[in-house]
Amino acid sequence: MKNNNDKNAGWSEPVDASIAEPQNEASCKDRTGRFVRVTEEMRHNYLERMAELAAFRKQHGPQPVARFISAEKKSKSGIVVTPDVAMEYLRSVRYNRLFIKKNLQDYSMIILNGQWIPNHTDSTKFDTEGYLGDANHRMHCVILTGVPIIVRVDLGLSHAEIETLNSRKAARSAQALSGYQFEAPLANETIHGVKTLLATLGQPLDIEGVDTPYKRIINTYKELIDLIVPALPKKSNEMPNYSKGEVIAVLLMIGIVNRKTLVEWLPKFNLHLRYKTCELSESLSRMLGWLDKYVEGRAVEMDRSPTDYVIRCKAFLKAILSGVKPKNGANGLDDQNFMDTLVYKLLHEAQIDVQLSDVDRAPTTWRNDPNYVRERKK
Amino acid sequence: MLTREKSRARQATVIDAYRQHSGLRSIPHNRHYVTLAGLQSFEDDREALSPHSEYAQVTSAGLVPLPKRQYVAFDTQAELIAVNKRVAPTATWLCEDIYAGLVRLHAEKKINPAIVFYDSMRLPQLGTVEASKLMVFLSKFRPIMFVANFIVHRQFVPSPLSNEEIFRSFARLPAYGLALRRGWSTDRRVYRYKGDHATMATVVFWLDRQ
Repeated sequence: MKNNNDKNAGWSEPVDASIAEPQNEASCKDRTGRFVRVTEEMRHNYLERMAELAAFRKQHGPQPVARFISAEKKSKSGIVVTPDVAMEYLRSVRYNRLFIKKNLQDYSMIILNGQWIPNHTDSTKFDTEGYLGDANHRMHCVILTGVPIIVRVDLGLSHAEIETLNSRKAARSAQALSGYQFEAPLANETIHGVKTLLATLGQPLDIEGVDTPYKRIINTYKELIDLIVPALPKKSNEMPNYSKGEVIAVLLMIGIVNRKTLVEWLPKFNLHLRYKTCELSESLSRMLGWLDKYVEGRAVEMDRSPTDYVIRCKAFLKAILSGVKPKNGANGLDDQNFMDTLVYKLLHEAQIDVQLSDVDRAPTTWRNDPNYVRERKK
Repeated sequence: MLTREKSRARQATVIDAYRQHSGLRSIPHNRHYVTLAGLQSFEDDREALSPHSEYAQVTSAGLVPLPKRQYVAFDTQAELIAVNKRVAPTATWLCEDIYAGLVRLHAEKKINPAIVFYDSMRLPQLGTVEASKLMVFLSKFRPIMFVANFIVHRQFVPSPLSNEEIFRSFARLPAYGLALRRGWSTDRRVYRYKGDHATMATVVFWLDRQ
Protein backbone atom coordinates (compact mmCIF):
# COMPACT_ATOMS: atom_id res chain seq x y z
CA MET A 1 0.00 0.00 0.00
CA LYS A 2 1.30 3.41 -0.90
CA ASN A 3 1.89 5.59 2.08
CA ASN A 4 1.76 9.32 1.57
CA ASN A 5 2.55 10.17 5.15
CA ASP A 6 6.20 9.24 5.13
CA LYS A 7 7.40 12.61 4.02
CA ASN A 8 5.47 14.32 6.85
CA ALA A 9 6.61 12.15 9.71
CA GLY A 10 9.74 13.04 11.64
CA TRP A 11 11.40 15.32 14.13
CA SER A 12 11.06 19.05 13.74
CA GLU A 13 13.63 21.74 14.40
CA PRO A 14 13.76 22.97 18.01
CA VAL A 15 11.14 25.55 18.85
CA ASP A 16 12.42 28.98 19.83
CA ALA A 17 13.28 29.02 23.53
CA SER A 18 11.50 32.32 24.12
CA ILE A 19 8.17 30.71 23.16
CA ALA A 20 8.61 27.77 25.50
CA GLU A 21 9.45 29.93 28.50
CA PRO A 22 7.03 29.19 31.30
CA GLN A 23 5.21 31.71 33.43
CA ASN A 24 7.08 31.58 36.68
CA GLU A 25 5.42 32.52 39.88
CA ALA A 26 7.19 35.74 40.74
CA SER A 27 6.56 35.47 44.45
CA CYS A 28 4.19 33.88 46.87
CA LYS A 29 2.58 37.26 47.55
CA ASP A 30 -0.78 38.16 46.10
CA ARG A 31 -1.44 41.18 43.86
CA THR A 32 -1.53 43.61 46.72
CA GLY A 33 1.84 42.34 47.89
CA ARG A 34 0.62 42.02 51.46
CA PHE A 35 -0.79 38.53 51.72
CA VAL A 36 0.73 35.12 51.12
CA ARG A 37 -1.22 33.08 48.61
CA VAL A 38 -1.52 29.42 47.69
CA THR A 39 1.36 28.40 45.44
CA GLU A 40 1.45 25.86 42.64
CA GLU A 41 3.56 23.58 44.83
CA MET A 42 0.87 23.52 47.52
CA ARG A 43 -1.83 22.91 44.95
CA HIS A 44 -0.03 19.87 43.57
CA ASN A 45 0.72 18.41 46.97
CA TYR A 46 -2.97 18.83 47.75
CA LEU A 47 -3.99 17.07 44.51
CA GLU A 48 -1.75 14.13 45.34
CA ARG A 49 -3.08 13.84 48.88
CA MET A 50 -6.66 13.98 47.58
CA ALA A 51 -5.94 11.21 45.08
CA GLU A 52 -4.55 9.12 47.96
CA LEU A 53 -7.63 9.90 50.03
CA ALA A 54 -9.98 8.93 47.19
CA ALA A 55 -8.12 5.65 46.71
CA PHE A 56 -8.33 4.89 50.43
CA ARG A 57 -12.02 5.67 50.62
CA LYS A 58 -12.74 3.61 47.52
CA GLN A 59 -10.99 0.63 49.05
CA HIS A 60 -11.98 0.86 52.70
CA GLY A 61 -14.92 3.26 52.85
CA PRO A 62 -15.22 5.80 55.67
CA GLN A 63 -13.25 4.70 58.71
CA PRO A 64 -13.81 6.14 62.20
CA VAL A 65 -10.86 7.98 63.65
CA ALA A 66 -8.59 5.31 65.10
CA ARG A 67 -6.71 7.60 67.41
CA PHE A 68 -9.90 9.06 68.78
CA ILE A 69 -9.42 12.19 70.77
CA SER A 70 -9.46 11.41 74.44
CA ALA A 71 -11.15 13.56 77.00
CA GLU A 72 -7.80 14.82 78.26
CA LYS A 73 -6.95 16.26 74.88
CA LYS A 74 -10.24 18.05 74.65
CA SER A 75 -9.32 21.21 76.40
CA LYS A 76 -10.52 24.77 76.19
CA SER A 77 -7.54 25.81 74.08
CA GLY A 78 -8.24 23.14 71.44
CA ILE A 79 -6.03 20.61 69.65
CA VAL A 80 -3.42 20.95 66.92
CA VAL A 81 -4.38 19.58 63.50
CA THR A 82 -1.42 18.82 61.22
CA PRO A 83 -1.86 17.73 57.57
CA ASP A 84 -1.47 14.07 58.55
CA VAL A 85 -4.09 14.39 61.28
CA ALA A 86 -6.38 16.18 58.83
CA MET A 87 -6.00 13.28 56.39
CA GLU A 88 -6.97 10.89 59.14
CA TYR A 89 -10.04 12.95 59.99
CA LEU A 90 -11.08 13.21 56.35
CA ARG A 91 -10.94 9.45 55.99
CA SER A 92 -13.71 9.34 58.55
CA VAL A 93 -16.16 11.61 56.71
CA ARG A 94 -19.42 9.87 55.94
CA TYR A 95 -21.79 12.81 55.97
CA ASN A 96 -22.61 13.89 52.47
CA ARG A 97 -22.27 17.64 52.76
CA LEU A 98 -21.75 20.11 49.96
CA PHE A 99 -18.16 21.09 49.27
CA ILE A 100 -17.73 24.78 48.47
CA LYS A 101 -14.55 25.69 46.63
CA LYS A 102 -14.73 29.32 47.66
CA ASN A 103 -14.49 28.34 51.31
CA LEU A 104 -11.32 26.46 50.49
CA GLN A 105 -9.75 29.57 48.97
CA ASP A 106 -10.89 31.90 51.74
CA TYR A 107 -9.86 29.69 54.63
CA SER A 108 -6.51 28.94 52.99
CA MET A 109 -5.69 32.64 52.76
CA ILE A 110 -6.65 33.08 56.41
CA ILE A 111 -4.53 30.13 57.54
CA LEU A 112 -1.52 31.06 55.40
CA ASN A 113 -1.47 34.59 56.72
CA GLY A 114 -1.62 33.52 60.34
CA GLN A 115 -5.07 34.91 60.99
CA TRP A 116 -6.74 31.66 62.03
CA ILE A 117 -8.37 31.97 65.44
CA PRO A 118 -10.38 29.04 66.85
CA ASN A 119 -13.62 30.52 68.15
CA HIS A 120 -16.27 29.11 70.40
CA THR A 121 -18.97 28.50 67.79
CA ASP A 122 -17.15 26.84 64.89
CA SER A 123 -15.91 23.70 66.52
CA THR A 124 -14.81 20.49 64.86
CA LYS A 125 -17.61 18.04 65.48
CA PHE A 126 -17.40 14.28 65.87
CA ASP A 127 -20.37 12.01 66.31
CA THR A 128 -20.78 9.29 68.88
CA GLU A 129 -18.99 6.67 66.76
CA GLY A 130 -15.94 8.79 65.94
CA TYR A 131 -16.83 10.02 62.47
CA LEU A 132 -16.15 13.62 61.49
CA GLY A 133 -19.39 15.56 61.14
CA ASP A 134 -18.24 19.09 60.38
CA ALA A 135 -15.15 21.14 59.49
CA ASN A 136 -14.40 19.39 56.21
CA HIS A 137 -13.23 22.63 54.58
CA ARG A 138 -10.87 23.35 57.45
CA MET A 139 -9.25 19.93 57.10
CA HIS A 140 -8.89 20.37 53.35
CA CYS A 141 -7.26 23.77 53.93
CA VAL A 142 -4.72 22.32 56.36
CA ILE A 143 -3.73 19.76 53.72
CA LEU A 144 -3.65 22.40 50.99
CA THR A 145 -1.51 24.88 52.89
CA GLY A 146 0.51 22.43 54.97
CA VAL A 147 0.10 24.74 57.97
CA PRO A 148 -1.10 23.18 61.25
CA ILE A 149 -3.96 24.96 62.98
CA ILE A 150 -5.60 24.83 66.38
CA VAL A 151 -9.23 23.80 66.46
CA ARG A 152 -11.75 23.30 69.19
CA VAL A 153 -13.43 19.94 69.31
CA ASP A 154 -16.89 18.71 70.24
CA LEU A 155 -17.24 14.98 70.78
CA GLY A 156 -20.14 12.57 70.93
CA LEU A 157 -22.75 14.58 69.05
CA SER A 158 -25.85 12.89 67.74
CA HIS A 159 -26.79 12.84 64.08
CA ALA A 160 -29.64 15.27 64.75
CA GLU A 161 -27.31 17.79 66.34
CA ILE A 162 -24.87 17.67 63.45
CA GLU A 163 -27.67 17.85 60.93
CA THR A 164 -28.80 21.25 62.20
CA LEU A 165 -25.78 22.66 60.33
CA ASN A 166 -27.60 21.94 57.08
CA SER A 167 -30.73 23.84 58.04
CA ARG A 168 -30.16 26.69 55.55
CA LYS A 169 -28.49 24.67 52.81
CA ALA A 170 -30.16 23.49 49.63
CA ALA A 171 -30.35 19.73 49.43
CA ARG A 172 -29.52 17.78 46.35
CA SER A 173 -31.96 15.28 44.97
CA ALA A 174 -29.11 12.77 44.80
CA GLN A 175 -28.64 13.16 48.53
CA ALA A 176 -32.28 12.51 49.16
CA LEU A 177 -32.42 9.47 46.92
CA SER A 178 -29.30 8.00 48.46
CA GLY A 179 -31.17 7.72 51.70
CA TYR A 180 -29.84 10.79 53.44
CA GLN A 181 -32.13 11.80 56.27
CA PHE A 182 -32.40 15.46 57.01
CA GLU A 183 -33.51 16.85 60.32
CA ALA A 184 -33.84 20.36 58.94
CA PRO A 185 -37.39 21.29 57.89
CA LEU A 186 -36.36 23.12 54.72
CA ALA A 187 -34.39 20.18 53.38
CA ASN A 188 -37.32 17.90 54.05
CA GLU A 189 -39.41 19.87 51.60
CA THR A 190 -37.02 18.94 48.87
CA ILE A 191 -37.17 15.31 49.83
CA HIS A 192 -40.91 15.46 49.89
CA GLY A 193 -40.88 16.84 46.36
CA VAL A 194 -38.56 14.16 45.05
CA LYS A 195 -40.52 11.46 46.79
CA THR A 196 -43.76 12.75 45.36
CA LEU A 197 -42.20 12.84 41.93
CA LEU A 198 -41.16 9.24 42.18
CA ALA A 199 -44.33 8.19 43.89
CA THR A 200 -46.45 9.61 41.10
CA LEU A 201 -44.36 7.72 38.59
CA GLY A 202 -45.29 4.47 40.23
CA GLN A 203 -44.91 2.87 43.61
CA PRO A 204 -43.50 5.17 46.28
CA LEU A 205 -39.80 4.86 46.96
CA ASP A 206 -39.33 3.86 50.54
CA ILE A 207 -36.61 6.28 51.52
CA GLU A 208 -37.04 5.78 55.25
CA GLY A 209 -36.49 2.07 54.77
CA VAL A 210 -32.92 2.45 53.50
CA ASP A 211 -30.42 0.74 55.79
CA THR A 212 -28.06 3.55 56.55
CA PRO A 213 -28.92 7.18 57.03
CA TYR A 214 -25.75 8.22 55.23
CA LYS A 215 -24.73 8.47 51.63
CA ARG A 216 -25.28 5.29 49.73
CA ILE A 217 -22.77 4.76 46.96
CA ILE A 218 -24.14 2.85 44.01
CA ASN A 219 -21.42 0.59 42.70
CA THR A 220 -23.20 -1.87 40.49
CA TYR A 221 -25.96 -1.80 37.98
CA LYS A 222 -28.00 -4.18 40.11
CA GLU A 223 -27.97 -1.81 43.07
CA LEU A 224 -29.24 0.95 40.85
CA ILE A 225 -31.97 -1.26 39.47
CA ASP A 226 -33.01 -2.23 42.97
CA LEU A 227 -33.23 1.42 43.91
CA ILE A 228 -34.98 2.90 40.91
CA VAL A 229 -37.06 0.26 39.18
CA PRO A 230 -39.54 -0.36 42.02
CA ALA A 231 -40.50 3.30 41.69
CA LEU A 232 -41.37 3.03 38.00
CA PRO A 233 -44.67 1.98 36.46
CA LYS A 234 -44.92 -1.29 34.59
CA LYS A 235 -44.15 -0.94 30.91
CA SER A 236 -46.31 -3.72 29.59
CA ASN A 237 -46.98 -7.37 30.20
CA GLU A 238 -44.90 -8.37 27.18
CA MET A 239 -41.81 -6.39 28.15
CA PRO A 240 -41.76 -6.06 31.92
CA ASN A 241 -37.99 -5.49 32.24
CA TYR A 242 -36.23 -2.22 31.67
CA SER A 243 -33.16 -2.03 29.51
CA LYS A 244 -30.03 -0.33 30.83
CA GLY A 245 -30.49 2.62 28.54
CA GLU A 246 -34.04 3.09 29.74
CA VAL A 247 -33.06 3.13 33.38
CA ILE A 248 -30.40 5.72 32.69
CA ALA A 249 -32.89 7.71 30.64
CA VAL A 250 -35.22 7.77 33.63
CA LEU A 251 -32.42 9.03 35.82
CA LEU A 252 -31.61 11.73 33.30
CA MET A 253 -35.23 12.77 33.04
CA ILE A 254 -35.81 13.21 36.71
CA GLY A 255 -32.52 15.05 36.99
CA ILE A 256 -30.63 12.72 39.31
CA VAL A 257 -27.77 11.94 36.97
CA ASN A 258 -25.82 14.52 35.04
CA ARG A 259 -23.61 13.88 32.05
CA LYS A 260 -20.39 13.72 34.07
CA THR A 261 -21.75 11.15 36.48
CA LEU A 262 -23.16 9.22 33.58
CA VAL A 263 -19.78 8.90 31.90
CA GLU A 264 -18.31 7.68 35.20
CA TRP A 265 -21.08 5.12 35.54
CA LEU A 266 -20.97 3.71 32.06
CA PRO A 267 -18.11 1.27 32.71
CA LYS A 268 -19.91 -0.01 35.79
CA PHE A 269 -22.95 -0.83 33.70
CA ASN A 270 -20.90 -2.48 30.96
CA LEU A 271 -22.06 0.08 28.44
CA HIS A 272 -19.55 0.90 25.77
CA LEU A 273 -18.90 4.60 25.31
CA ARG A 274 -19.29 4.35 21.57
CA TYR A 275 -22.83 3.06 21.86
CA LYS A 276 -23.77 5.52 24.56
CA THR A 277 -25.27 8.16 22.33
CA CYS A 278 -27.25 5.78 20.14
CA GLU A 279 -28.66 3.72 22.94
CA LEU A 280 -29.51 6.68 25.12
CA SER A 281 -31.23 8.64 22.43
CA GLU A 282 -33.25 5.60 21.50
CA SER A 283 -34.13 5.03 25.11
CA LEU A 284 -35.07 8.65 25.63
CA SER A 285 -37.43 8.49 22.70
CA ARG A 286 -39.02 5.36 24.06
CA MET A 287 -39.23 6.79 27.56
CA LEU A 288 -40.87 9.94 26.35
CA GLY A 289 -43.28 7.81 24.41
CA TRP A 290 -44.47 5.63 27.20
CA LEU A 291 -44.41 8.38 29.79
CA ASP A 292 -46.70 10.30 27.54
CA LYS A 293 -48.95 7.29 27.22
CA TYR A 294 -48.94 7.01 30.97
CA VAL A 295 -50.10 10.58 31.45
CA GLU A 296 -52.41 11.24 28.55
CA GLY A 297 -53.16 7.80 27.23
CA ARG A 298 -51.89 8.44 23.73
CA ALA A 299 -48.68 7.99 21.81
CA VAL A 300 -46.19 10.72 21.02
CA GLU A 301 -44.67 11.42 17.64
CA MET A 302 -40.96 11.62 17.93
CA ASP A 303 -40.20 13.89 15.00
CA ARG A 304 -40.85 17.08 16.90
CA SER A 305 -38.74 20.12 17.55
CA PRO A 306 -37.07 20.76 20.91
CA THR A 307 -39.72 23.35 21.75
CA ASP A 308 -42.38 20.71 21.62
CA TYR A 309 -40.33 18.57 23.89
CA VAL A 310 -40.12 21.44 26.35
CA ILE A 311 -43.85 22.02 26.31
CA ARG A 312 -44.68 18.36 26.60
CA CYS A 313 -42.16 17.76 29.35
CA LYS A 314 -43.36 20.76 31.27
CA ALA A 315 -46.94 19.62 30.96
CA PHE A 316 -45.96 16.18 32.11
CA LEU A 317 -43.93 17.43 35.05
CA LYS A 318 -46.62 19.86 36.08
CA ALA A 319 -49.06 16.99 36.14
CA ILE A 320 -46.66 15.08 38.33
CA LEU A 321 -45.98 17.97 40.63
CA SER A 322 -49.55 19.19 40.88
CA GLY A 323 -49.80 17.71 44.34
CA VAL A 324 -46.83 19.70 45.59
CA LYS A 325 -47.02 23.39 46.34
CA PRO A 326 -43.59 24.53 47.47
CA LYS A 327 -42.96 28.10 48.46
CA ASN A 328 -41.08 30.11 45.90
CA GLY A 329 -37.40 30.43 46.69
CA ALA A 330 -37.61 27.96 49.54
CA ASN A 331 -34.78 25.68 48.59
CA GLY A 332 -34.04 23.55 45.60
CA LEU A 333 -37.65 22.85 44.79
CA ASP A 334 -38.65 26.33 43.75
CA ASP A 335 -41.35 25.52 41.23
CA GLN A 336 -40.00 27.37 38.21
CA ASN A 337 -36.33 26.66 38.86
CA PHE A 338 -36.92 23.02 39.49
CA MET A 339 -38.89 22.64 36.30
CA ASP A 340 -36.34 24.54 34.29
CA THR A 341 -33.53 22.45 35.65
CA LEU A 342 -35.30 19.24 34.84
CA VAL A 343 -36.25 20.34 31.38
CA TYR A 344 -32.80 21.68 30.69
CA LYS A 345 -31.21 18.43 31.75
CA LEU A 346 -33.64 16.46 29.71
CA LEU A 347 -33.11 18.57 26.64
CA HIS A 348 -29.39 18.62 27.10
CA GLU A 349 -29.46 14.89 26.56
CA ALA A 350 -32.36 14.84 24.14
CA GLN A 351 -30.51 16.99 21.64
CA ILE A 352 -28.59 13.91 20.66
CA ASP A 353 -31.90 12.46 19.67
CA VAL A 354 -32.88 15.55 17.73
CA GLN A 355 -29.74 15.33 15.65
CA LEU A 356 -30.39 11.73 14.80
CA SER A 357 -34.05 11.99 13.84
CA ASP A 358 -35.41 13.83 10.83
CA VAL A 359 -36.27 17.23 12.19
CA ASP A 360 -36.66 20.11 9.78
CA ARG A 361 -35.76 22.77 12.30
CA ALA A 362 -33.12 21.94 14.86
CA PRO A 363 -31.63 25.02 16.55
CA THR A 364 -28.09 24.77 17.80
CA THR A 365 -29.10 25.24 21.40
CA TRP A 366 -32.49 25.26 22.94
CA ARG A 367 -31.80 28.64 24.49
CA ASN A 368 -31.63 30.13 21.00
CA ASP A 369 -34.95 28.66 20.08
CA PRO A 370 -37.27 31.68 19.54
CA ASN A 371 -40.37 29.71 20.48
CA TYR A 372 -38.95 28.83 23.80
CA VAL A 373 -38.02 32.46 24.52
CA ARG A 374 -41.52 33.54 23.63
CA GLU A 375 -42.98 30.99 25.94
CA ARG A 376 -40.85 32.15 28.83
CA LYS A 377 -41.94 35.74 28.31
CA LYS A 378 -45.55 34.69 28.72
CA MET B 1 -1.64 2.87 7.68
CA LEU B 2 -2.22 4.28 11.11
CA THR B 3 -0.68 1.40 13.03
CA ARG B 4 2.49 1.40 10.98
CA GLU B 5 2.94 5.15 11.29
CA LYS B 6 2.14 4.92 14.96
CA SER B 7 4.67 2.17 15.57
CA ARG B 8 7.33 4.11 13.69
CA ALA B 9 6.61 7.15 15.84
CA ARG B 10 6.74 5.00 18.97
CA GLN B 11 10.08 3.59 17.90
CA ALA B 12 11.49 7.09 17.43
CA THR B 13 9.94 8.88 20.40
CA VAL B 14 9.98 6.17 23.06
CA ILE B 15 12.42 3.37 22.29
CA ASP B 16 15.16 5.25 20.44
CA ALA B 17 14.77 8.35 22.58
CA TYR B 18 15.18 6.35 25.79
CA ARG B 19 18.21 4.49 24.48
CA GLN B 20 19.83 7.64 23.20
CA HIS B 21 19.31 9.64 26.37
CA SER B 22 19.93 6.99 29.00
CA GLY B 23 22.57 4.89 27.25
CA LEU B 24 20.64 1.78 28.32
CA ARG B 25 19.10 -0.75 25.97
CA SER B 26 16.19 -1.52 28.27
CA ILE B 27 14.71 -0.08 31.42
CA PRO B 28 16.24 -1.32 34.71
CA HIS B 29 14.61 -4.38 36.28
CA ASN B 30 13.26 -2.54 39.30
CA ARG B 31 11.52 0.13 37.23
CA HIS B 32 8.31 0.36 35.22
CA TYR B 33 7.00 1.33 31.83
CA VAL B 34 3.73 3.25 32.35
CA THR B 35 1.36 4.03 29.52
CA LEU B 36 -2.23 4.81 28.61
CA ALA B 37 -3.63 1.50 27.45
CA GLY B 38 -6.24 2.38 24.86
CA LEU B 39 -7.19 -0.52 22.64
CA GLN B 40 -4.11 -2.36 21.46
CA SER B 41 -4.09 -3.13 17.76
CA PHE B 42 -4.99 -6.70 16.83
CA GLU B 43 -4.44 -9.16 14.05
CA ASP B 44 -7.41 -9.74 11.81
CA ASP B 45 -8.86 -12.58 13.83
CA ARG B 46 -8.96 -10.38 16.97
CA GLU B 47 -7.34 -13.11 19.02
CA ALA B 48 -3.71 -12.03 19.02
CA LEU B 49 -1.91 -8.71 19.30
CA SER B 50 -0.54 -7.12 16.18
CA PRO B 51 3.27 -6.63 16.11
CA HIS B 52 2.47 -2.93 15.69
CA SER B 53 0.65 -2.78 19.03
CA GLU B 54 2.41 -0.92 21.80
CA TYR B 55 2.73 -3.92 24.09
CA ALA B 56 4.19 -6.17 21.39
CA GLN B 57 6.49 -3.46 20.15
CA VAL B 58 8.12 -2.42 23.42
CA THR B 59 8.52 -6.00 24.61
CA SER B 60 9.88 -7.40 21.36
CA ALA B 61 12.28 -4.47 21.01
CA GLY B 62 13.65 -5.37 24.43
CA LEU B 63 12.80 -2.03 26.02
CA VAL B 64 10.64 -3.76 28.63
CA PRO B 65 12.40 -7.06 29.37
CA LEU B 66 10.00 -8.25 32.07
CA PRO B 67 6.52 -7.24 30.89
CA LYS B 68 4.78 -9.17 33.64
CA ARG B 69 6.35 -6.93 36.24
CA GLN B 70 7.28 -3.80 34.35
CA TYR B 71 4.49 -3.01 31.89
CA VAL B 72 1.72 -0.98 33.58
CA ALA B 73 -1.14 0.44 31.53
CA PHE B 74 -4.03 2.62 32.66
CA ASP B 75 -7.37 3.29 31.05
CA THR B 76 -10.68 4.53 32.38
CA GLN B 77 -12.76 2.28 30.12
CA ALA B 78 -13.29 -1.15 31.62
CA GLU B 79 -14.12 -2.76 28.27
CA LEU B 80 -10.78 -1.88 26.75
CA ILE B 81 -8.97 -3.12 29.82
CA ALA B 82 -10.89 -6.40 29.66
CA VAL B 83 -10.03 -6.94 26.00
CA ASN B 84 -6.37 -6.12 26.53
CA LYS B 85 -6.24 -8.39 29.55
CA ARG B 86 -7.61 -11.25 27.52
CA VAL B 87 -4.95 -11.07 24.83
CA ALA B 88 -2.01 -10.05 27.05
CA PRO B 89 -2.75 -11.46 30.49
CA THR B 90 0.79 -11.19 31.77
CA ALA B 91 0.94 -7.38 31.83
CA THR B 92 -0.70 -5.12 34.41
CA TRP B 93 -3.86 -3.45 33.07
CA LEU B 94 -5.55 -1.05 35.47
CA CYS B 95 -8.96 0.53 35.02
CA GLU B 96 -8.16 3.85 36.62
CA ASP B 97 -7.25 7.44 35.86
CA ILE B 98 -3.51 7.54 35.22
CA TYR B 99 -2.80 10.33 37.72
CA ALA B 100 -4.94 8.85 40.49
CA GLY B 101 -3.54 5.39 39.78
CA LEU B 102 0.07 6.52 39.92
CA VAL B 103 -0.52 8.39 43.17
CA ARG B 104 -2.19 5.33 44.67
CA LEU B 105 0.58 2.98 43.59
CA HIS B 106 3.19 5.42 44.89
CA ALA B 107 1.42 5.60 48.25
CA GLU B 108 1.46 1.79 48.34
CA LYS B 109 5.15 1.84 47.31
CA LYS B 110 4.47 -0.35 44.29
CA ILE B 111 5.69 1.80 41.43
CA ASN B 112 8.91 3.34 40.20
CA PRO B 113 8.45 4.38 36.57
CA ALA B 114 11.34 4.89 34.17
CA ILE B 115 9.20 5.84 31.18
CA VAL B 116 5.73 7.36 31.21
CA PHE B 117 4.07 7.49 27.81
CA TYR B 118 1.12 9.88 28.01
CA ASP B 119 -0.40 8.93 24.68
CA SER B 120 -3.40 11.24 24.95
CA MET B 121 -6.18 11.74 22.44
CA ARG B 122 -6.46 15.41 23.29
CA LEU B 123 -5.56 18.68 21.71
CA PRO B 124 -2.64 20.51 23.35
CA GLN B 125 -4.90 23.06 25.05
CA LEU B 126 -6.28 20.36 27.35
CA GLY B 127 -3.61 17.70 27.07
CA THR B 128 -0.85 19.96 28.37
CA VAL B 129 -2.81 20.54 31.59
CA GLU B 130 -2.86 16.82 32.37
CA ALA B 131 0.71 16.36 31.16
CA SER B 132 2.06 19.17 33.38
CA LYS B 133 0.21 17.79 36.37
CA LEU B 134 1.73 14.38 35.74
CA MET B 135 5.21 15.83 35.30
CA VAL B 136 5.06 17.63 38.64
CA PHE B 137 4.10 14.38 40.34
CA LEU B 138 6.64 12.29 38.43
CA SER B 139 9.55 14.41 39.65
CA LYS B 140 9.67 12.02 42.61
CA PHE B 141 11.16 9.33 40.35
CA ARG B 142 14.59 9.98 38.85
CA PRO B 143 15.88 9.51 36.20
CA ILE B 144 12.68 9.40 34.20
CA MET B 145 11.48 10.10 30.68
CA PHE B 146 8.03 11.53 29.97
CA VAL B 147 6.62 11.31 26.47
CA ALA B 148 3.54 13.41 25.74
CA ASN B 149 1.49 12.83 22.63
CA PHE B 150 -1.22 15.22 21.42
CA ILE B 151 -3.59 15.56 18.51
CA VAL B 152 -2.70 18.66 16.51
CA HIS B 153 -5.15 18.29 13.65
CA ARG B 154 -8.41 16.43 13.33
CA GLN B 155 -11.94 16.89 12.13
CA PHE B 156 -13.46 20.27 13.10
CA VAL B 157 -10.03 21.77 13.81
CA PRO B 158 -9.66 24.32 11.01
CA SER B 159 -5.90 24.16 10.59
CA PRO B 160 -3.08 22.09 12.08
CA LEU B 161 -1.68 23.48 15.30
CA SER B 162 1.97 24.41 15.03
CA ASN B 163 4.81 23.18 17.21
CA GLU B 164 5.04 26.65 18.74
CA GLU B 165 1.39 26.40 19.75
CA ILE B 166 2.10 23.23 21.75
CA PHE B 167 4.88 24.91 23.71
CA ARG B 168 2.79 28.04 24.16
CA SER B 169 0.08 25.86 25.73
CA PHE B 170 2.67 24.44 28.08
CA ALA B 171 4.21 27.81 28.88
CA ARG B 172 1.00 29.40 30.05
CA LEU B 173 0.53 26.77 32.77
CA PRO B 174 1.96 27.47 36.23
CA ALA B 175 2.27 23.71 36.73
CA TYR B 176 4.69 23.52 33.80
CA GLY B 177 6.81 26.22 35.42
CA LEU B 178 6.88 24.19 38.61
CA ALA B 179 7.85 21.08 36.65
CA LEU B 180 10.78 22.90 35.03
CA ARG B 181 11.89 24.23 38.40
CA ARG B 182 11.95 20.64 39.59
CA GLY B 183 14.44 19.80 36.87
CA TRP B 184 12.48 18.67 33.82
CA SER B 185 14.08 19.51 30.50
CA THR B 186 13.30 19.15 26.81
CA ASP B 187 15.10 19.78 23.55
CA ARG B 188 11.94 21.54 22.27
CA ARG B 189 11.74 19.28 19.24
CA VAL B 190 8.44 17.81 18.12
CA TYR B 191 7.85 14.54 16.28
CA ARG B 192 4.86 14.94 13.95
CA TYR B 193 3.12 12.15 12.07
CA LYS B 194 -0.17 11.58 10.32
CA GLY B 195 -2.69 8.91 11.10
CA ASP B 196 -5.86 8.07 9.23
CA HIS B 197 -8.03 10.63 10.96
CA ALA B 198 -5.69 12.95 12.80
CA THR B 199 -2.23 14.43 12.88
CA MET B 200 -0.31 13.77 16.06
CA ALA B 201 2.65 15.45 17.71
CA THR B 202 4.96 14.06 20.35
CA VAL B 203 7.24 15.88 22.78
CA VAL B 204 9.85 14.19 24.98
CA PHE B 205 10.81 15.44 28.45
CA TRP B 206 13.63 14.29 30.67
CA LEU B 207 14.40 14.51 34.32
CA ASP B 208 18.03 13.97 35.40
CA ARG B 209 19.21 13.34 31.89
CA GLN B 210 22.35 11.23 31.86
